[in-house]
Amino acid sequence: VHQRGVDVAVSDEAQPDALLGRDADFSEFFHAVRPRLFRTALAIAGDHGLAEDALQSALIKAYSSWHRVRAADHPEAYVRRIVVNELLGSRRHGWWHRERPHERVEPGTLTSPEGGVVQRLTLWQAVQALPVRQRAVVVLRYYEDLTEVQIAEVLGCSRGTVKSQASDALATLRRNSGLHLNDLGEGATR
Amino acid sequence: MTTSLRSALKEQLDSLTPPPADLELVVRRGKRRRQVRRAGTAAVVAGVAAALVVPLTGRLGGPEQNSSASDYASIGRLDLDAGLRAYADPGGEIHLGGRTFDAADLEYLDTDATATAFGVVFYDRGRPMLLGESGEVTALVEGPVESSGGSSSSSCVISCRSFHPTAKADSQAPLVAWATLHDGTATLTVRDMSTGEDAGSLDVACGDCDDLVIDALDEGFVFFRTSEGTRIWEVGRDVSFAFAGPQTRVADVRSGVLLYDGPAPRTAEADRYLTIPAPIDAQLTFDGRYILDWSSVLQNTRAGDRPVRLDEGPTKRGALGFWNIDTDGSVLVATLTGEYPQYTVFDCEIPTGRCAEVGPLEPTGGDPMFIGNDM
Repeated sequence: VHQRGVDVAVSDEAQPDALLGRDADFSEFFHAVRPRLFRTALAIAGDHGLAEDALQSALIKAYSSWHRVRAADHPEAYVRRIVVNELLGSRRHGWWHRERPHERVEPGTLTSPEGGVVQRLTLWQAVQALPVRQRAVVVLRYYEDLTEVQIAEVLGCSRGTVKSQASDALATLRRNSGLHLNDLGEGATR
Repeated sequence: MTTSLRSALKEQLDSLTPPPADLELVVRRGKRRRQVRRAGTAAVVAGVAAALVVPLTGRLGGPEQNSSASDYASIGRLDLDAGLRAYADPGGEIHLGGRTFDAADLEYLDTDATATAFGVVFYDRGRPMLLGESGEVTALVEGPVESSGGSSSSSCVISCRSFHPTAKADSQAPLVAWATLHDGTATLTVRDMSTGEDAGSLDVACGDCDDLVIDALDEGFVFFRTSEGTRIWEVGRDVSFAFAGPQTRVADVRSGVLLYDGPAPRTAEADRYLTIPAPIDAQLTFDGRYILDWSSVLQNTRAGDRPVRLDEGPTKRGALGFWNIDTDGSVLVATLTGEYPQYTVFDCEIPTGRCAEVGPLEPTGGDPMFIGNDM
């Protein structure tokens, strides 16, 4: 980790055993967290390629700073923050930072047995049409089950900002999905 | 009928099969990233006493016209896992990558040198050099170069002006920019340090070029300044644009956020950036989201973010402390932790503000100094 200012940094080549341990640790972590992190990345990015790129970049960074990641209180949360910031910070894909054109999707006949499925699909599409930061808040809150404080830490913003982003997101979801969300945003009714 | 937002997300996402994992690729690139970081720091491996046995005096007393890598003794490898952490007691000791070195042996590493993730870039009589991961110094450019204005250094005995273009590293791509002067022409070069290939070069008409300065390199865009003003060179398309007049100074550019001093830039190119007025020695974090400006409170650049308060260092501007953005994007803070001048250097993460102690520093030769930072 952060070494004190005297001596003894040894190269990879000189510490094969330590590196084997490092790679084994990382490998276990990689396989354990990757599926979940990919899903979260996809939900925020809305695009497989972008999600995969962001996740891969984050995992590369995690490996290169494995000592820091491993020492973190919650290594998965640490890497999730990198993933989210990769997605939010990518100017190269600036086009998707903007709110996407959204075609209102009618949920169809909700009395049919498939009504719930259709509603959930409608809601998913509405989430995907949110501006990216609002989308991140929604995904972190309702998929990752993070608290407002935890989301604020991931996004590097205040809890108040998270609250207002969530509020705006829910209002947009109601408007664009045609569904009625309750105050907590836990449910949607029609 | 009620549908849960939570279950809508769960239904869509949990059924999804992630693409095949490529652990080997991640590890390989992760190692390369570590090596690239280390390379940058390798400079000061001073701790390797054996290296110190080979004095650098060869370089100091070397031939005036032919600076070369062989003038420098190897100092061995450094661990750059936590960034270069390049700081010094001027004239006393230099710290790099957690090691300590006698400043007299590395006197070429001053505030004009540039700490990058690939090593320390510095100029030796106009020639850009790299102190890399291995601890070896290599010349980044071969062939004749000059270190001062005028077509020949021999022609300027008294009024010769220095060529100090600086070098800059891109925090979003493995690119480093520098400039050389030869036969009255300055050439900007951007190199992809991960491949060793030049990404591009640009000749600049700048007279004696003593006022040519590279102010920033961000996402492949080089900001350089001459007496006529600041221009942007887009390396990928090899085109350059006027950016600002001569009164405007670009302080830093990171991830599309630009700090400037003086009149606001008003060209069309400026509209591509989030431009923020700031002191000339202010710095941005790599993501462009926070401004480091002589305080352990970093102001946010975007609405909705909040300032970052580091766990260490004074939070009032003007208090005694020193700061720098490290090569890995963290913030180095030198703050008094005892009686003056007993400083401690900390390495602080962004955006959490959590700090870890790097080591003590009790300067005898002036204020604490960060390599490549003259703040």
